[in-house]
Amino acid sequence: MASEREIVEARWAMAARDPRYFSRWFVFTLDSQAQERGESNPIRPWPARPHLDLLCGLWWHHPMLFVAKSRQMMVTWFASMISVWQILFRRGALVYQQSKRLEDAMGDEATGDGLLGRSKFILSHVPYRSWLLPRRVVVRSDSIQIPGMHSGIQAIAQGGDKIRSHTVTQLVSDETAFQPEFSAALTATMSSIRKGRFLGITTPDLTDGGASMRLALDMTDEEAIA
Amino acid sequence: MSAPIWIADAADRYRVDRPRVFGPGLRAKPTRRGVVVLDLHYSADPDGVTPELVVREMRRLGCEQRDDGTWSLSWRWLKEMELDWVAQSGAQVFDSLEQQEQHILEPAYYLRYEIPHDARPSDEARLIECEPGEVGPIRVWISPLDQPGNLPDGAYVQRSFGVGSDISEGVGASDSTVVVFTADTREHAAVFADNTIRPVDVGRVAVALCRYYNNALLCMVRKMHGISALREVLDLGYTRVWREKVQNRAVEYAAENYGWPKGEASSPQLFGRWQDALRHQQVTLHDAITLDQHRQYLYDEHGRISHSALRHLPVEVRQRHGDLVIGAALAYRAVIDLPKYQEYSHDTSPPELSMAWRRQQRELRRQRDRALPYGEVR
Repeated sequence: MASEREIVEARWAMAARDPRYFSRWFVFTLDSQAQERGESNPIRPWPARPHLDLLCGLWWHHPMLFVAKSRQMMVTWFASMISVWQILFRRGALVYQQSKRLEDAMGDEATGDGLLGRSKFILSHVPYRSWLLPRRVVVRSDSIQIPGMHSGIQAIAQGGDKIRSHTVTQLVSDETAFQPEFSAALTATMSSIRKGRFLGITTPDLTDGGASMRLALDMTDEEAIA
Repeated sequence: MSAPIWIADAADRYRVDRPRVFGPGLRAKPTRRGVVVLDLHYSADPDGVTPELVVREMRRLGCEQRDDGTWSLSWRWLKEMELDWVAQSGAQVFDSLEQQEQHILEPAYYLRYEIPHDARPSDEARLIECEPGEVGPIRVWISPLDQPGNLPDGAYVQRSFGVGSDISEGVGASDSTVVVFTADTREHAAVFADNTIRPVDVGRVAVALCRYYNNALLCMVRKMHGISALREVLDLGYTRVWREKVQNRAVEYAAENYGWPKGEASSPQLFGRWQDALRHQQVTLHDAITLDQHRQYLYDEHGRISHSALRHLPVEVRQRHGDLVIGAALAYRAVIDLPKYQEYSHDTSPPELSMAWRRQQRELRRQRDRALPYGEVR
């Protein structure tokens, strides 16, 4: 019969091959409204929801993915989970996490807020982390780095100038429709990401001048104006 | 135990080479830019978004239940939950004002200004208080000498004020405005609006009002005619002018440029913060005209903020329209950089004939004695 350590390491090997197994066995999230619902523990295992599995599959097979979503669908948690998976299992992975302001992207680990805050939360709640995680993980206010894997996550503010001249493995942009400079960022993304990935997430809004809407509805600028 | 189906081996299951429905609330489609778009409606997650949660969110987002049990859906609900991109088209930008109690007041008094016809470049405008019953162009609700009501007995403060100014051409079209806000209570202190005054003269009036209001911090638009007014302000030797901030860092810091870089209402950096301040009731408007102007701002079909009277005009024309709302937003931008009070003093003299008073008198006598010339005795 396999020991506990052997089981965990076998699961970790499966997680390295498929992010769905990583989320199933090694990811915990924080529900900040659990207390209001009368639940004592706000830290929960990754929920087994069909839409998150589908999202994972679409993300894997379509490097350029844009998600127009209703609120509270756990898509930002998904983006953080997938970013952590990349830096843990893909050598040299550089993931940029972009929000309207740098503070929004940085978020807060303790409250599981923001893209990077959630990534830190996920990383610090991996079960058996002393067995599984690399010995050296450098966590800074605006980044996570794993020197042994040459991988890392960097939080950035909105704007195309933050992406140009960098070669990233993945750009995750959260609430793109609320980023007034998303149009410029999208142009920069299209040209800078050749073999990398783009994951845009937003609830509908027109603060970005309709750039996200045009992307979601597959309209050109001329068609939108007409 | 069956062998796992790895995600990498399930390409057919996730193929999106044409619009495809994966289940309730899950639609994906390819686009001409090579991006796959997934529409993720809340109905895709019945376990997470329960019917109770839906009803709670509907109420929270402004939907109203009719007597027959059906719902009148708000644009916020349609946008946030039903993925309707243009739901907010035609909606008021400052809709939160309709649901809040307003504090519209008649001005406490009026000021008028004088600028000599043969004014030299260094001549400021002169402010004159109007007689009771006389109406002047500057409406005042709070004088610079007014004290806030929550001070302890004997305390005296010199309040800080922020001044916002939007500049027009002065040919009878849109107004040039100068708006004053208190820094401690963040309420309207004074308002000036005129559509015939030249930009240079607005600079003079703004400097006079700033000096009147305890050397207030002036936040003025720099774009177009603003640069003329701003140059006049600096030529008059008034340097307490707000400087542009570098905002794409975790901590803002002041850039070298004076004034607000953009004047259009659609600038989210200006109006976004102002919308939040109004929504969370961090500011109090006393001016009925300013409140009315807020109601005229609507979202157009592309989500841009536009003035209702200008909706049919091109974007470039709309962007020049500003008036009191922009002035107020700029004044608010100035006051959030200010301390509440410039000076605080408290009369700590003890009650007469008390022990502390006697000690104080004795100390004062000693000080006076020490101050006498050598050899003289009191």
